Amino acid sequence: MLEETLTVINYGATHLIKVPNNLSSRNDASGLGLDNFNNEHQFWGQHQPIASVQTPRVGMGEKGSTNLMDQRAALIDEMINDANRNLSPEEKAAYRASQAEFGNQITPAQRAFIIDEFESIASKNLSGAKGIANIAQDEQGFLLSDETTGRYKKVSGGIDDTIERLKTATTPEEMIQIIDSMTREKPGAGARSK
Amino acid sequence: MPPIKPLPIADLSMYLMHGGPRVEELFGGVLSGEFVRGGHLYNILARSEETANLVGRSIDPSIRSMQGAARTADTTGKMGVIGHTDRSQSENILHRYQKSVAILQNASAHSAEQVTSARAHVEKHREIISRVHSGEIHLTGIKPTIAGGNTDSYQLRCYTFN
Repeated sequence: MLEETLTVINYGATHLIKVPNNLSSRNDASGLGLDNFNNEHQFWGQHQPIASVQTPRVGMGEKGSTNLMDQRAALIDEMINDANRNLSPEEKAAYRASQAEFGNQITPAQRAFIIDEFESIASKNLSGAKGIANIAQDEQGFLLSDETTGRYKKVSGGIDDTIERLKTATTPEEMIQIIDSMTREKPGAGARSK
Repeated sequence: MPPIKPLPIADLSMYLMHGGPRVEELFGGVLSGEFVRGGHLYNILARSEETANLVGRSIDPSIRSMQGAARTADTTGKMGVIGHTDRSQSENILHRYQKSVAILQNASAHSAEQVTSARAHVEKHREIISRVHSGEIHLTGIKPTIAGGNTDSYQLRCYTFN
């Protein structure tokens, strides 16, 4: 089973594109009970990738490679850099002012990425179909795992509150504390031992 | 009362990741306009190990999330999320199709919105579903490359702010 989940089909490449909101639409899976799959976007027109990475040489039945994830992580780097580069003059000025006044060490795109990730993962519905719920649970485990006990933690506080606090954090350490403070060990959860 | 911190947050909603041909195979350097379905928000592809790294890689490599990533990667770091986004698109489409058909076959038991959505899904994916039924693996319109290609090293860049 594990081997199967490791299987990766090679796309050829993964591309990072920037699609104006008016050219994309989110798939509507309403009523289909597939909320966790409600993540596809249609987009129209030709798009030149901002960045691309070749996906690894992994085929059906072969063991997967974390290179794929490393390379996609590289695209996240590109995305954050691109977003920071393309801030409006006003946004750049606001960022510099926040650096000077509050010691803000987190760029606008980094903050957006972290908040979005937290919101997306922490709000995952764990009560869906078994396979989907398991994926969501694993995803949350990565974000909310407790390094001491090896158990993953579950968000105990309001996600909205956490996001509001993340919006005003000025240092990486503060962000970590906020996320930590909003989690607790899930009673009865299986240990994720090393 | 402490001052309100005006900490700007960028808009990342326009960024999508999408599987596709290798760069040298892009016609005119662009993704085709016909290549129109299956685009994922970046964060969908940012799952698993990348997610564990999200804070660490994004703001400080020394924090504990990196440790968490290293610890969990050996057990769940290679989980089926990749399968979800890459490998199982055919299954995903079929699953939706089956759900949609079930709704349409018993339309009176569902809301108008559900019926409309189900009908739209069937219509939109008619050709794809046909191909999947014929045994073809569907990956956003691109025939998967089973072998070959290269794994060009990719140099991570530090975050920049100019």
